[in-house]
Amino acid sequence: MAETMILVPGRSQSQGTSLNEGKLKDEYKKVTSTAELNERDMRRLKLKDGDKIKLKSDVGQTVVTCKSKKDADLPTGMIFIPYGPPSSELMASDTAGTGMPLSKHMEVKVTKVK
Amino acid sequence: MTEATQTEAQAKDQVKDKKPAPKRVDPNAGKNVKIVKDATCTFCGCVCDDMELTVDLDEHRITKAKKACVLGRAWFYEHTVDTRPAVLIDGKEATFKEGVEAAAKILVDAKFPITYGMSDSTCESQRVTVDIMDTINGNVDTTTSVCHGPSGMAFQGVGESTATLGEVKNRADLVIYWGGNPAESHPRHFTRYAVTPKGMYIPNGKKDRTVVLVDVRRTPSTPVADIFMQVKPGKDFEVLWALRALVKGKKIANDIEKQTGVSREVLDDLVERMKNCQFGVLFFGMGLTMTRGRHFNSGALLSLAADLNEFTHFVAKPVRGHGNVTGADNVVSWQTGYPFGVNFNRGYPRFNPGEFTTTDLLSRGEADAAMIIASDPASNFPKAAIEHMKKIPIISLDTKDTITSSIAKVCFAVSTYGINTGGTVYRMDDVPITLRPAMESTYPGDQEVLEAIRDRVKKLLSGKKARVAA
Amino acid sequence: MSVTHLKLYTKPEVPLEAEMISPTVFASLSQSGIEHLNVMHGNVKCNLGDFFKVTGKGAAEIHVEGDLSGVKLIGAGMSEGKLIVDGDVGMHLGAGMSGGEIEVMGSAGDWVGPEMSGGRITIKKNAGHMVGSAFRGQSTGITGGEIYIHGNAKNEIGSAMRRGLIVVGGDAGDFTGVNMLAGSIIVLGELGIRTGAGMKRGTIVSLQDAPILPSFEYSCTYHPLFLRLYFRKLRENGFRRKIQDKHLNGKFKRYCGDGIELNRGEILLFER
Repeated sequence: MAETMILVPGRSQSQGTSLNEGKLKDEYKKVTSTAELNERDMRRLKLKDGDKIKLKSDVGQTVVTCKSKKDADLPTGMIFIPYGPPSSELMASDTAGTGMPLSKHMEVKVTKVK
Repeated sequence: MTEATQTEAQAKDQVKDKKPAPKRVDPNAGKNVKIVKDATCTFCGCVCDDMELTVDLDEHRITKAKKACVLGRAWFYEHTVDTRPAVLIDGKEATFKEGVEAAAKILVDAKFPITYGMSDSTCESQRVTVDIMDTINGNVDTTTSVCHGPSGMAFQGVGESTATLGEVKNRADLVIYWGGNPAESHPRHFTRYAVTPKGMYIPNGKKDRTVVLVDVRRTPSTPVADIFMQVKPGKDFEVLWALRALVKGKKIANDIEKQTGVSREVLDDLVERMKNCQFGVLFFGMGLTMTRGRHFNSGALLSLAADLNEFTHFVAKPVRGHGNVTGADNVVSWQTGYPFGVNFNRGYPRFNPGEFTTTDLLSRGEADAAMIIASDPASNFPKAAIEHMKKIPIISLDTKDTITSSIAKVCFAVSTYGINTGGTVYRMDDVPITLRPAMESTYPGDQEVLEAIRDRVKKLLSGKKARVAA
Repeated sequence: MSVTHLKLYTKPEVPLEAEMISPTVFASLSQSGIEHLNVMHGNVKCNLGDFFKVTGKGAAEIHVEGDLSGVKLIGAGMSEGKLIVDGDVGMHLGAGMSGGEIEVMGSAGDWVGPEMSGGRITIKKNAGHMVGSAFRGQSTGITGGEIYIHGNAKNEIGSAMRRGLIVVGGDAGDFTGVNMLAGSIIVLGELGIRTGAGMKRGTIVSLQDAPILPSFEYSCTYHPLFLRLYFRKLRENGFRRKIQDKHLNGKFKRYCGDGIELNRGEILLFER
């Protein structure tokens, strides 16, 4: 069952350090394909840490690994992921006359990958 | 340049060690080591210039970076000797001269050549890049367009009440971070510039400041804040607009909490604090520029800072990402009159974000050649843009292999600014800082490559007639 | 009547800037004079005849045919005559025009009629962002004229406009009428978010409900007589399907704002 959530890509420390090792290295790929979800959302979607989920937007889709976050740290309905190729996959190219594609707060459909 | 060889360092130690002191084991004993003092870290926009680097000259790498944050340490430690070829054409090794010739030819033959990147490059190199695009009537854009480009547009629209980070350190008693997570993206922003340091009028450091953090989620930055204001995603503009109205003594809607997730009491309290502080500062991040509203979000925040100057001194500053992205804005501005998204097709500069910005030019399939300097659009641009990049000739200059360099027709491996090459870099508050490189590299600097391309381009063009009279 | 036909036969590889496709420019030229007008193909100067087949003569009316989505600035600065485009057009259609009429059968790119001062633009399908707007860095947008979009339009419709009328038959994007100084915007479909942010004066009308910024204040629900006049006129101009009798006689909620600015603008939302 697919559920619509808000994806917020951003910077994280491990994204920053792994970037220095090289973008084609495994560590960077791992960091940028791990998404954080609220623990209650994870329970509802019957997910546990390390499960794969598919994120789908109007323009593309990507499969990432999920990791739970406490209620206080991440509101329900929101997904955080470090910037990287998976988050770009979901980004629309329209910039509304600004040059900036909407890179945060993207609506995505979340489904568990079996 | 302040540097001391191993023996000098030992000699100093010996003088100090005359007094009884515990015996120290020198981890560098027996190694060919160089110390670089006051070196500059160019990883993020903080551009901290108080590093003390220990360079192992035998192994050709930096073994210690005193004062560097976790990102800075990764930056310094991971730049080691690389073995990839200096020049690749179509994936095959080539000489420097062949590479320059191929690059120059691509640029001269193109009808709509673009350049993008430049944020991890010195001002000197950025200047050469603008020169090349000016010469061939191309298009200049930097990573600013997908970072604080909307803020650049907002400056143009509403202006900027500004200050240096030094003023913030010495004077600011109210520090507000909006839509950013400096603890992870700019770790020393708190400790070196804005929160904990003691300043001239802030004798007790953090005790004398009130720190407010505004975000849609709790981040590792949140514990620093005295007040954390959690806004519903995508409601920053509404909150800023309500704050502006309250500062001006105007009415706001009763259902503000339902709309934005922030209660009227919290807003009133923040307004009082903002109006009554001695020196307030609003730092803002990508939470504003990358979300719906973009330049209007930044504009609302800049206007709020301007409004507050009726009551007290208030400034606003974007927290910039990459090392020299601020320099890119400055250089492109003083060369063309505009900060990013500048087009020379008609022989004179024209500015129009959305038309002449790289994401748009690539997604719409308009550019027919691209020179990408120290950035990786092939991994972080929207899909349509990446697809187009695969169809056109790309010239790439980068310190490391990236997805962009892997699809490039001509690929130059260059040395790293701040570690291997010197030059000038702008800190996020528009303060220029001189670099003190730590060690030599086997690769040329990007400035050297760009100058060679520029000279070759000018030669090739002098054969042709002037392309445009417009 | 004198009609010149242009037919696109070479698709431009990179954007083509063709502000000379305008009755004002064609007026004094022969057919070969038109063919030899300079256009910018990226950074290369070419002739109009390299891309368009030119037939007919005179300039009372210009018909352009083909996929012009990569052609910018058509009809820019025109002051008289009629320009009909049979297909899609690119950016900056009718930029700064002061008179005459443009009709586009397809869709238009971003910046339709920026900073125009007079004349009329009609788009039969959709338009992009920044319809009837100010260019970046300018404080005033259109100062007159009329723009009719039959489909949808995106963000920043009528930004900083001072006078004139913009009508959107479909939905609007975000920030409709942002920073507007005066003038009228009518959206028959749905408005996006943050309508009228920073507006000083002027009127924004919608037939649907819309989110209102916290700095706007509800003033009353009433029946604005002038709207019936506008709606009648619009029904005659091809918006018949969208405007029903209930709209002609209906009541509208009036919000005044933007409280941060002069507070003399209004947003009128149809209630019943």
